[in-house]
Amino acid sequence: MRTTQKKIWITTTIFLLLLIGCSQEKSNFKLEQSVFIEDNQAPGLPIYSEWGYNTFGAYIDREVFRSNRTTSPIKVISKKDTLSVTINGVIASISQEQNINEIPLSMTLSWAKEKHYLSHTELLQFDNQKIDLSAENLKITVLKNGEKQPFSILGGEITIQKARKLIVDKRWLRTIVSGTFNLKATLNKQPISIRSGRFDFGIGYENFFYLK
Amino acid sequence: MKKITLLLLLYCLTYMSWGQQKNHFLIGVEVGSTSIIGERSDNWQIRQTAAPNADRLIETEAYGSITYFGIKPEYRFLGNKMSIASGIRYVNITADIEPSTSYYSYNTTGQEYLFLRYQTNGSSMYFAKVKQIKEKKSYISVPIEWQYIPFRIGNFGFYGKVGAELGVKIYDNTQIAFLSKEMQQEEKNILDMISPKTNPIYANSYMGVGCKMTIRKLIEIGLELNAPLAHTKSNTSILDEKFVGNIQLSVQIPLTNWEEESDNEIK
Repeated sequence: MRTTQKKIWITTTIFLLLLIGCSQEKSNFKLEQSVFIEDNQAPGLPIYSEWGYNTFGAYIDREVFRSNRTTSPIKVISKKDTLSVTINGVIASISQEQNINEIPLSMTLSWAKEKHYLSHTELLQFDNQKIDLSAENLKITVLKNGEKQPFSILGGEITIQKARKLIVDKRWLRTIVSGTFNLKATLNKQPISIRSGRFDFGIGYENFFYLK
Repeated sequence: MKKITLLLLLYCLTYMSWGQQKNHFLIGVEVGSTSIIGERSDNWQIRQTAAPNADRLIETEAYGSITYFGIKPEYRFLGNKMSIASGIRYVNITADIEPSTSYYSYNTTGQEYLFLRYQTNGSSMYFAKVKQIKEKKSYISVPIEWQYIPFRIGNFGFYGKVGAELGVKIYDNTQIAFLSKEMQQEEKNILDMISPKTNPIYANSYMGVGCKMTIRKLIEIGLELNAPLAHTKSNTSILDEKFVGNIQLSVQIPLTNWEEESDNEIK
């Protein structure tokens, strides 16, 4: 009798274990609202990509400057004689208590140009272009925590590796601009280096503005 | 297709007629089902629709299942404690990707969509708004199984088994439901551009435990759980399969009055 009971217990246990192992699950993949994939080679920064992930990042000396989820990472403003590009992000640091501190920082590149850019579609001409940041027709202004900071470029370069169309249902929705940047400058009269910079922006109706 | 069906029919008839000359043969039908556990495959480049501050979060849901049914002759020996079985199975694999707002249903519009990237070249990236991607593959397979029934309690027999099966693909269909009618007309071209590849061979090995109930010493109804030992990959382009265990229901009837014979053997 005991042997029979033992057999029933063993069989029941195996059944239950297998039932747990085989439970029917629906695979559910949560969406990332922004595509931030960390670069293993440059911790804290997004990977270099050309898919319109709307991210950017760079090291300012040893601090991480990168886009975040809540702020639009780029706004392009085209005026009659100027093209302004503002990148909005945060200086991210980890405190001794392992809390992440984020200080808002935005940089605006104002570029005196004779050409009028009426639409984001015209940004396609920047494909495979290099921009010398020490050129006289360029100016950078920096806002840290909402306050303007004295900033002066010593030298540097933006390389636009790729500018291409993002077409949705046969309509040109955005222009994707991707590339890298490095520069040296003075911030609050202190020399700084901005290195390992990378960006991947989708520029369209929502972040391209033409001001007459 | 006709040739395969004819060959399978011949195989079954041969097996069954062979079985009728022996004493310990049974013929049965089996039905099994499982969910495919795995991650969404990179074959399909999906981007989300939600903006960072959107009040409605769209999720991508990928889901797959395997169902099969088969005819399975079985030969029992060693006083009906051991058996070997083979046969033929029709295996149906379906998988789909679709947007889901299940947790935010109060905001569901019924027009949720995902972006599918279907082409990239030097100057452009092409996306389409899609409501669903659905895939169906069918395989014909031949299983072989060894079963051991260590003990019976009343009308119930408990058993363990190991098995393997090998199959070939006989049907392959993928459909995309686009949001716009204009893009729907491009379905074939887009599928050609993505050209999701799946494995033409379906094979797996498994082990399982089960219980059989004998009714009136004639019909056996079995329920069993199988766990995979190894299986082929890429039988669906939508999921990277990780686990394909299954639950199987079977019904068997003896081709001869083997119950009496087995009783005599025991005596």
